[in-house]
Amino acid sequence: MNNRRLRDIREDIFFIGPGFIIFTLIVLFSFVLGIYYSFTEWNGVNKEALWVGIDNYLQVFKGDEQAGVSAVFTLKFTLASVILANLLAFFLALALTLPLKNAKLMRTIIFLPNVIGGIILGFVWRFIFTNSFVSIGELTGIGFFELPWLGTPITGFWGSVIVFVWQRTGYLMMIYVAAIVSIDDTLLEAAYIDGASQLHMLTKIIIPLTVQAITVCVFLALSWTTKMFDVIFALTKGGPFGSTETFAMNIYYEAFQYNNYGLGSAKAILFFIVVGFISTAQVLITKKWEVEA
Amino acid sequence: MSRKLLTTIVLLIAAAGLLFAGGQQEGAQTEQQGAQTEEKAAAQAEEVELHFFQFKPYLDEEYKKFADDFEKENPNVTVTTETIGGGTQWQTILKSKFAADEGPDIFPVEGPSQYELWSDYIADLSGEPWIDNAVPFALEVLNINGKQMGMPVNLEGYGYIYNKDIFKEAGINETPSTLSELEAAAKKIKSAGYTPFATGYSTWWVIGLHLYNVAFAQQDDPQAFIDRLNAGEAKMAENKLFQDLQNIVDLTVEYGEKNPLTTDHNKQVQMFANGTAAMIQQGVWKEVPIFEANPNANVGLLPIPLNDSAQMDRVAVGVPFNFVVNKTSPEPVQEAAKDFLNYLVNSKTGQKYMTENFGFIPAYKGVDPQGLKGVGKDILGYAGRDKTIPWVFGQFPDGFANEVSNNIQAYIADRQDWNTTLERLDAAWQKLK
Repeated sequence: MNNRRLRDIREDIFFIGPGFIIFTLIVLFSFVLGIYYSFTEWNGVNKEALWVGIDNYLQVFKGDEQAGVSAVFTLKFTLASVILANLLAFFLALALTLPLKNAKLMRTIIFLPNVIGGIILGFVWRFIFTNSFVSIGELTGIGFFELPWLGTPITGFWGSVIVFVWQRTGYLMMIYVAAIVSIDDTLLEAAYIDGASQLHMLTKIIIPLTVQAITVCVFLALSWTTKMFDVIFALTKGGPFGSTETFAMNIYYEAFQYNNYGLGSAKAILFFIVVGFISTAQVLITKKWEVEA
Repeated sequence: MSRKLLTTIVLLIAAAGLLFAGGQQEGAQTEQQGAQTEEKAAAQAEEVELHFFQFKPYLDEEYKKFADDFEKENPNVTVTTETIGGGTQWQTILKSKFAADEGPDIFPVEGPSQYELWSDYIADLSGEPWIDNAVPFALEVLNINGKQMGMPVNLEGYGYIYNKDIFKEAGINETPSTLSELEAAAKKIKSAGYTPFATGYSTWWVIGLHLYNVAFAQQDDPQAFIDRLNAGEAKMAENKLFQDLQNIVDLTVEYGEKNPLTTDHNKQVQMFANGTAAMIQQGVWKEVPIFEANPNANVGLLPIPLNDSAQMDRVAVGVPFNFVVNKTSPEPVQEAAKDFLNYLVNSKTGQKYMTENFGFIPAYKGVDPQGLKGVGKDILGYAGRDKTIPWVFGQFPDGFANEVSNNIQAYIADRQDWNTTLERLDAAWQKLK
């Protein structure tokens, strides 16, 4: 009995130990360090950081206009992107699980943008918006292409959403495809024989049985969009006039360009709390909708 | 259950202990190695590894060749050249290098604010042999309390780079030097079927550093004005030159490309090099890409006028960066670093690299600037006639240039009037200083 317990412990350490050590060193350690720095005034280079208590936190709440703009932008961007990406991914998955001739090929093509790194993608789309769109607009006179893309807050916002949706829809679609394929055919057949319409089958069988996938996909999309940095950094640099600056970018600028490492850390900690709260709430809510066949 | 937990914790601590023990051993080893290298250094003529960091990507190859030549004359030194710059945030990368204890031995510092940031790491260069040959105003940038903390390399200038062929075709025979003359020229260019300006106003530094600098630099005593700003005695919103800055912003937007906030500095060069735009607000650093895209370009440089006074006929010339030596590097490495810098600006070989290979306008007397093209020659011309204004954006508080760019962009987008723009920038200066 005692022997067996010891073996259990050894197994625990063997399997969990390495991951735990790496997690401690890379995530936990930096996180605790970040909490410490959030109570100091430090420029990120000097050898000493000055302890200032909760000053940094107070400063975030009073009179940091740009942080407010960034928070609102991040919120709107998250809302629009999560909804659009998931809707599109779900309906693409529905379409591409039909017995189409080239379904597999199309799935691969839609998935491909995921393989491209965010910074490169941002630059590529910047070129498309500011060069290709302009040329197309001149040639065809279609209003959509003649908009000042990325030059106004509204086009900057929708430009960012378009790029995000384009990049991530394929990934979400694959998860939905897996969920839809795994639905027991007999259920759909029975419904069909009972005379259920396509719409009924969708709302009463397919959607309830893929809620698990919806939980995962919404969670993934949430964590991507709330922490969005690379694509928009390359696409708009937060411009024009800071209107497309995500909160993650605001933290980066504060810490590394304005050289207020302490204030940047304080923002990061607050950001962590808010994002953690939103993600947990989302998982708890969608979990409730899950059913089993 | 609780015993199980206890044993787990004990074992975990033991494991962690092992880890630390490993770390300590490693530490001991490096110490030993350190002692060994010191002994070696004493024994033979110091084997030194020099880590050189620079931030101009298009000069990476050239600097490496230069480092090879330096190694040939100093066989005990091995130079590693690292280039990170261009569109990337090289400062951030430099910070993480220092955080990881891998700070380079030589690195660039752009101005007094950046000096403040790195001051813990910068060695005193007073008494270096190149000081006597340097152009005096170039030394001033990093002369801190009478000590020379950085080595200037070159001078750069900016203004409106213009296409001489388009000017001729539009019938402009005299180069404009005041606001009204520039407006008249823009009108003629427009009626000749070209876009007078490619503004590039989506790029923060085009507005935040270079354009805004002009209003500072045209003050009778720019340094005094900045001191009074810092002391809260002066306001940009109440200053004539800052109010006049509105004129040039309006002019360039009116005669600029269709959506100024969608074009960046690359697009500026593209429009200029392919002959659709006649002028871009840029500097000598853009000559390389312009000539790459169009080897037959016929270019020159105009000042940026804010009003019609005669003092507007001056271009902004400054020291873009200084090389500094890391004072936390070991002593022999610091010595090698100083030799390397001296070799760059004070030897025949180094001077040949600066002028011919890098295309620099040297910040040193008695160096013949070959390899200069239209813009570079014009800058030298203005400097020769003593018609220059300084670069003071190195003294902007950290982050101020971003505020400038954001606020002027908001003005261009009709979000706020000019007075509000200046008032907000006054507030930003007070907050960030």
